[in-house]
Amino acid sequence: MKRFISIFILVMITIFITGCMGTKEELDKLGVAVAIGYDITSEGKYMLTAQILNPQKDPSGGMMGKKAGSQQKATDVVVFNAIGDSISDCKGQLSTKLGKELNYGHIDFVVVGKSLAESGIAMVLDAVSRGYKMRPDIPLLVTKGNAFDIIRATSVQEKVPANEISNLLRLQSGFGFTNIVSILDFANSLSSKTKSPVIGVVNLSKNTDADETFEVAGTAVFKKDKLIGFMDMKETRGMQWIDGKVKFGYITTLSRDEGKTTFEIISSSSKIKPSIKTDSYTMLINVKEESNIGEMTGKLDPMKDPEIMNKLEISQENVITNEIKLAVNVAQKKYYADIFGFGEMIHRDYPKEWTNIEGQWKDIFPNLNIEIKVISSLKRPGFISKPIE
Amino acid sequence: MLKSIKKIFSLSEDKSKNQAIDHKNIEEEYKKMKVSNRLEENRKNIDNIFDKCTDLIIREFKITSNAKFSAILVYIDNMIETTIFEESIITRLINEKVEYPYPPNSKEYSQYILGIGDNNIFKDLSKVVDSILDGKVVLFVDGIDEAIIIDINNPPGRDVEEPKSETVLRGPREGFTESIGSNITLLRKKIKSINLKMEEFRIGRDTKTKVIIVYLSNIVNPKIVNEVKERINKIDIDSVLESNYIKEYIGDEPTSNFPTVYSTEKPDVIAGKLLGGRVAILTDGTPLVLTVPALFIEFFLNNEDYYLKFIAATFNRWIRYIAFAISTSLPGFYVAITTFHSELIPTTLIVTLIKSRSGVPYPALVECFLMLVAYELLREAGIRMPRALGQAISVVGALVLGQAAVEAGLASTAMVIVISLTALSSFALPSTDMSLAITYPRIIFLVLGGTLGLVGLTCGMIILFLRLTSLRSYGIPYLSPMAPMQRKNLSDIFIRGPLLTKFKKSWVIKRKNTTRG
Repeated sequence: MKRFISIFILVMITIFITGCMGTKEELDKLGVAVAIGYDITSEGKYMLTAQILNPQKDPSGGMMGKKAGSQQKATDVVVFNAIGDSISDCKGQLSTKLGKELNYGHIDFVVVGKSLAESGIAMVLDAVSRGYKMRPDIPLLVTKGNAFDIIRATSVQEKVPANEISNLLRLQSGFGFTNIVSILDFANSLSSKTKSPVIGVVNLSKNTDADETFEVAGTAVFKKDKLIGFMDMKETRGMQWIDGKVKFGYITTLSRDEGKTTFEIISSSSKIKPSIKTDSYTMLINVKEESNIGEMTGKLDPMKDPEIMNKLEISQENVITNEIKLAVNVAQKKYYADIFGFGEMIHRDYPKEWTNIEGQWKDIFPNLNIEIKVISSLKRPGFISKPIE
Repeated sequence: MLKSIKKIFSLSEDKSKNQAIDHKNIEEEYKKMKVSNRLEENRKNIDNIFDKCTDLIIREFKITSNAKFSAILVYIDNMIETTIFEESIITRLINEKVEYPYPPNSKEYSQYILGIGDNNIFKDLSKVVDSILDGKVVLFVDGIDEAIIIDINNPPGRDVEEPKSETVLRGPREGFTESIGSNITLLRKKIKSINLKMEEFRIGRDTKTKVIIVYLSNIVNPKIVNEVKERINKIDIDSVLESNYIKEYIGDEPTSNFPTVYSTEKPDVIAGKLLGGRVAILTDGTPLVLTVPALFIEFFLNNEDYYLKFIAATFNRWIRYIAFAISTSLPGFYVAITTFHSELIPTTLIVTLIKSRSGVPYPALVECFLMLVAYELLREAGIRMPRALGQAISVVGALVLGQAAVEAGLASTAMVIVISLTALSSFALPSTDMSLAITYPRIIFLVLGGTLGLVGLTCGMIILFLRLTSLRSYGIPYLSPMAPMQRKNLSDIFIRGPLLTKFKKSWVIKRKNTTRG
């Protein structure tokens, strides 16, 4: 009898101590947010915009077909926004409009408006990383306008517009036209004293039939946590060559003999090595790239003469080198920002010298020597060899 | 006032007490009586004992048709084979045998003309009465103080047919019947060895059921046999109607939910287990045969695995393990995840889950519980349904529980899928004992998962494992060969190794190494 009572007490104690009591909530009473945007208003208050899942029960029957001609698109989300004194205060203000508890577990990305980015993004980061509810590996994005517009826009293809943006992001990370940075990565690069963080950019663009679609292209450059400028697509790709992140895409070359040739990128990798030569620092950038021939005009037949392949490779290397030079130029001359992390690499390889020059990195970086070496190899010309006249 | 109520009830009790006392007196008396010399006295005793038993038949005749030699045959109608009775016994006794060495009114005459051994000739009346109740024919001869017992038993019974609860895809389809004689014979047909030993017991004061234990003496551990015999001898109950009555006395853990005694209706399964060193217990009147000792893993293995090729058999075995895991933990897991840990669900799935749950007025835990109760009702009703109604009601059951409940907003579609998966997997196990034993952990996991989340569910699983490892069946740990790990025997658990590669291995239950697992 004693044993039974003691076991019973043990079980009761364990039950009441452990357990996931705090997070209990029914599925349909959750306000599951799929995308969140932060803005700053002209009075200096913060605005939070949230895209919340609101799935409609599918009516059994042909009701969806009748709406094909109407303007309204069927969506599964509802957009709410609220204004408050701080980021977390906005969430409290949101409760006056939304009757559900905001749930951060399914957020696909966070968008920050341009004005908020220019005045400093550190507060957003703090609010987002401190709570244990938001995943730290979701991408952080900046827009040239208001985050409010991005979150509010509906999409043609998807019922949940946030899915479309996350699809874009997933595809773009291989193409190299934008840099996908997660909240954790951004916080890490903020903590470094010399590296300038970059963030991907999302905009609304007008389609031919006046529908708004999303466009994910370019990068935003930050100094500490304030936005200083944007880089366009070509410059971004140059930066991605240096990081070795370009996995798909096309390179076009133009020349007199071979006409306009387009190469299809298969893979690429890069190695960066800093070297010190008597008080001047050089960064050696080695980029290796593999590609196939995408399309050709002109009269040359690559299968006949292997020399032609070599020539094509050389022209490809030139194009890549130009893109990289563009990116380095922008970083060095226009923004004076070390977006590639060269400082950190020198710190890793030459720690003793780094302690001397760390304070003056801002002045050293714009005058840094960059040596670019690109090795590209052309793999296959495809099914046909001679371009069709 | 209470006393008057008591009196009303006690009156009827008193009457039955009187009757019981009368009966007890008669029973005690005739136990001490002996077969008497005189036929009339024997007949009177039999009439007294079998008072008001109209199916008892007493036939008078004269041996060798001589008026001096009277004899009676006593038997119970319908228990004997009447053609043999008429042709062999009565004809032999009535016809005159010329030049027979023994005189017709001696014991030896009747004994040797019918071919009865000495152990079937009794002097005690109690043994005679037991034989009559057993369905044998008793011969009383005037002038002999012993009774001769003739066994031509043929009670009504079922033919050997395929057991309905254990069907196989490939393999023998014989099943045990209710008659213990034919069951023993079915076993003898499978194992033709002199080491197949059978020992008989009689259990139950009123039913006097015949219980036989069977084992292979060159393989089994004699300690287990002795333990079984000891436990059977200690049973002291009124009646044994089914082998489950014995199971609760013989089995090692009567309070546990999980079975420690294996039962089956097929002779080839029992033959396999006998060869694996187990002891089989057959009970008269039921086709279910018990096997002892039984381990946890046996309820997942099936003899059919040996009738298929080894890759297919291994795949089937793994499906059964997965079915066990699903059947116990899926409802609790689903409720825990949708209530507490919605971050674990992929976003596209959450959209459909919110849609399906958005009309239901009560929380997921209550909904799951109600659907489990409804499923158990359906199952119980389906067992007893008359076949004419069966088809219609199964359709209605599916419609009611599935579509209509969802459309009325009483259940969500995802929950219906969860419950039907659970139900299906509980039937994937080959042993009905185990599938019925699973319902109890399933409900506990549901409650734990719904109130404490995944943490509670994991705690529940740990407690279940601890409980399972602490059980023992006849001294052997319940979860061997996994729990005290025996590497050599593990290969038969996870895969069903090809028979060619089975080297000699030993098993804790057997004495010697043999090639069979």
